[in-house]
Amino acid sequence: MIGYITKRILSLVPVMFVVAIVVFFIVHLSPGEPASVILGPNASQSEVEALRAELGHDDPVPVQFFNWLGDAVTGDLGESIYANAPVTEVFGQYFIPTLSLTIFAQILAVVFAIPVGIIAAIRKGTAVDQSLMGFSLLGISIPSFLLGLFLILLFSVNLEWFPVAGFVPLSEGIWPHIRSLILPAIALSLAQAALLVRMTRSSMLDILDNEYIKAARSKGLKERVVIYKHALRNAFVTILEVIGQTFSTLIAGAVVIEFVFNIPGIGQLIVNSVERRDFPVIQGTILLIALLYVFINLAIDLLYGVVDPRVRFGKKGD
Amino acid sequence: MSEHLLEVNQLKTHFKTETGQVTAVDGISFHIDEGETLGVVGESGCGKSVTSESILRLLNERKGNTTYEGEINYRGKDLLNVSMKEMRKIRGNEISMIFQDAMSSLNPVYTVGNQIMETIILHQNLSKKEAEQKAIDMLALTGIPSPEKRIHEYPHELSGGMKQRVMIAQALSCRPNLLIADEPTTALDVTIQSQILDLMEDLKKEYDMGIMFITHDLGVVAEICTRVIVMYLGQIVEEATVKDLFDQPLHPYTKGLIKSIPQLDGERKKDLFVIKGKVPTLNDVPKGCRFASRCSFSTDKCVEEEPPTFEHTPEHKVKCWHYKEILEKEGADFGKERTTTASH
Amino acid sequence: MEAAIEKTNKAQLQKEMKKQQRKLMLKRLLRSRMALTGFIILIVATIITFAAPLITSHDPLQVDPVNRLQAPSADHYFGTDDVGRDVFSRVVYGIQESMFVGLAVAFVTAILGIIFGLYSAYYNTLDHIIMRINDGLMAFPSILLAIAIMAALGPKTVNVIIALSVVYTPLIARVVRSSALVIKEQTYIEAMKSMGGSSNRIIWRHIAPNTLSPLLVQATFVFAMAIINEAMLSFLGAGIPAPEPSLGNILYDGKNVITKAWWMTLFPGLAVILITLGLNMFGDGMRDILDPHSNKSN
Repeated sequence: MIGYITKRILSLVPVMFVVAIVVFFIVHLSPGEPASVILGPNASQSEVEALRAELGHDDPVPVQFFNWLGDAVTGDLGESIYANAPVTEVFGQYFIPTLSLTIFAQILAVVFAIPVGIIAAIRKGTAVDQSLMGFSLLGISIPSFLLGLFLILLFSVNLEWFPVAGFVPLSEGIWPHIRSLILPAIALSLAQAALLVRMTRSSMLDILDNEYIKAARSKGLKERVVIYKHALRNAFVTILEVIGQTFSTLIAGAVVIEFVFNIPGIGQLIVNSVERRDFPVIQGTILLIALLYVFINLAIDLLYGVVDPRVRFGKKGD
Repeated sequence: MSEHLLEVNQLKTHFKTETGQVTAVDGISFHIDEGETLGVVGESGCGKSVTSESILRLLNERKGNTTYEGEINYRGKDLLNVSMKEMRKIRGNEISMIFQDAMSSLNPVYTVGNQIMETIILHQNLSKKEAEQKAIDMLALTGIPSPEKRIHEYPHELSGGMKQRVMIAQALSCRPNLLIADEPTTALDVTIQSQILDLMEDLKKEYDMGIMFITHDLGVVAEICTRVIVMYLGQIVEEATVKDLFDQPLHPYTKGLIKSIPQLDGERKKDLFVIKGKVPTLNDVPKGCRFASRCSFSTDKCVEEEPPTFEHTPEHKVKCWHYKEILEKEGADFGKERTTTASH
Repeated sequence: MEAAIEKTNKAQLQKEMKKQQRKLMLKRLLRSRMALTGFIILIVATIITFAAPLITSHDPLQVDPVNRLQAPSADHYFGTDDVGRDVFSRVVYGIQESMFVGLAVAFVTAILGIIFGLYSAYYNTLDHIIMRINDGLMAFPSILLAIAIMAALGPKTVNVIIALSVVYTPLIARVVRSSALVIKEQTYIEAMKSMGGSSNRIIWRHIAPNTLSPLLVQATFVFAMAIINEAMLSFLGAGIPAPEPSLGNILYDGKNVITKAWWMTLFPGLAVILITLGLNMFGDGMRDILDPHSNKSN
């Protein structure tokens, strides 16, 4: 098991290296001198020179890269030009709402989708199944930011159940905080929930065809036990894989949803930084999110071992 | 007439498929007594497994995909009419089942101990601790070494033979009256196969249960069964004691099956005998004798009219128009030729 | 001589078989209600794209502050926006823009993807490098990578196309590579190699044609994703620059007046959903037709 974990972590090194290169060169992609781009057209020559020196842009590019990488590895992602604070600090301030939203959406999706998927599987071919499948297809097809806008139109503008843009930070109480995240979380989670419904259904159907399900029934177990103990645990391997793949999508989706609902999270930070051309923040934020993305997938991979004993012993599948 | 442990009367099992209704088991009747082993023989697709799964009603009844006709009498109850709740009390407790492929009949994500204990706790009033002890005892009974360690292992950590022993331990853990074994040794190699057969034989004596042994292997039948039914395309074509079946098979299909057993002793025969033709599909069942198209004795009558079941002796029944003539022509020789090899 | 005749017969037979296959595919396409619906939606979107000047009666850029925030009416089918521009015209031209960007991205990624995919399937060393780069690029959430690139390049339509192409090329390359790997293992390719066939010829003449159908299907999905992402980028203010009519820009303007002008959100939103739904249905249908064995549930 420890060998497996080490191997998986080592396999991430080249991926992270490419991520670092891409993030670093984003600044160098921009046409013209980064320093003058950052300072805008009204900056004087001496100001540009000063910033150049400060950013270390006088060095050759590979030197700049390794300097930057060395700093990044030790946790120094540079300073925000706009906020005059370390990027990691700025990121930390904006990260909490994003995390709340993402986790809330994830819980919503799982709690809602898995039972629905199971019901669809058990009632395969019936009207219930078909309408659930129809809804889920629709759910997958609606981009989350549009769903968010439509939810605002319906529930905030039309029915006035929720304020239009009423984000309440966690510091003002947990319930108001959660309430303000209900619409964003629904918008964010629907597509994932719909996908999960379909995956749960199809993997349950696969599992229910297995001989050991028949064997479990032949022991005299209740159908409920057969489904929830014997089938679901097996289906969970697939379900977990989907959750893993889509959790990272949720984080990315959160960026746009935050903009829709005016939530001061990473999404706002990125959008604002793009407007302000605050490159260290853009670089740092994207690097951190890519890191998160990669490590969540790693965590999910390791979780398989808990759910499926075959993985634990290094011989998954038959 | 004494009460049988299980008596199946005119059982028909219908499936609804995309192409219409199909009758996988078509009016079969047989019985099993306590302490006897009934062999059920036939090629794959002849309805053996459907018969066994009909007894425990394991086929998908939801949405009316599967419907039954006839009776399955078990201790004065018709299993086709009892409630699902009652059925669940019988399953795994009074009637249990061993499946062909032990590999896929054990849930990969639970330890074998967990799976055996599950059955024990379900049907007997035992604590978890007692159930665990019972599971260990059962594994020991099936000859698994260091069972107290094995119960904590997962199915994929055990060999095929071990897994089948686990299945047997699980099936017998509640002392069933009837054990249905659906090709329990097919997936195993020959040495393990005979070990498992010996084990089943021993346990049958100890528990005094009836066994319904489904197989396509007549060699196995000769080894452990007392009586045999031969199935072809959803019907029973011959029923006999093991001795009668090998000494004097009446149905041409049975003869074919016996002739196609590979011979190891004596001089080498030409080629392995193969019954010509293929089993027709259930979608177009012939209207006369179902074996007619593959039978070298078939006549117009066979093609036109379905034969009834004739009683050659009270214990030997056959579903063939011409069994008598065939018997006169060649049957006597057939028996003699085979006795030396098949029934020992 | 005889061999030659046999060869032409064979070729003819193959041609005939292909013809039959194509007929069968057309039949399946017509029978698959989903693919057909998707196809019809695409046709409508295409017509709108080309006939934009004919179906609109207002200039999408014409500001008319007096008639701002007008609800939908006979004159302004979809109402007017916060500076009095006709929303219907803006949506129509927005669809044109979306189709253009989507098609361009699908085209660019298809070309880059097939080149990277084929060569990386064929040459093992190159494969290692390209796949690592792929992994790295795919480690970014697609929209974030697109935002970052847009931040660097600046808001311009062509930059949107570049950014989204960078984001989606790995996806196509992966699909092409995996089907190319299967073909590459086949005996006739091995045989050609051993007879000294030129690598480029083998790659383009023999392997490439076999990767076309998965490529086509994937490109359809990229088309759809590009439309969504273009709308998203513009909605975030990092896409197509402001006065230009793009579906995302209309949504951006609409967000500020969402309490007063529902039509500015609803209509462009529906347009995005319908077009991408059409593309996805068409892609799904095509996948079923081209590769009936593939798993439908994914």
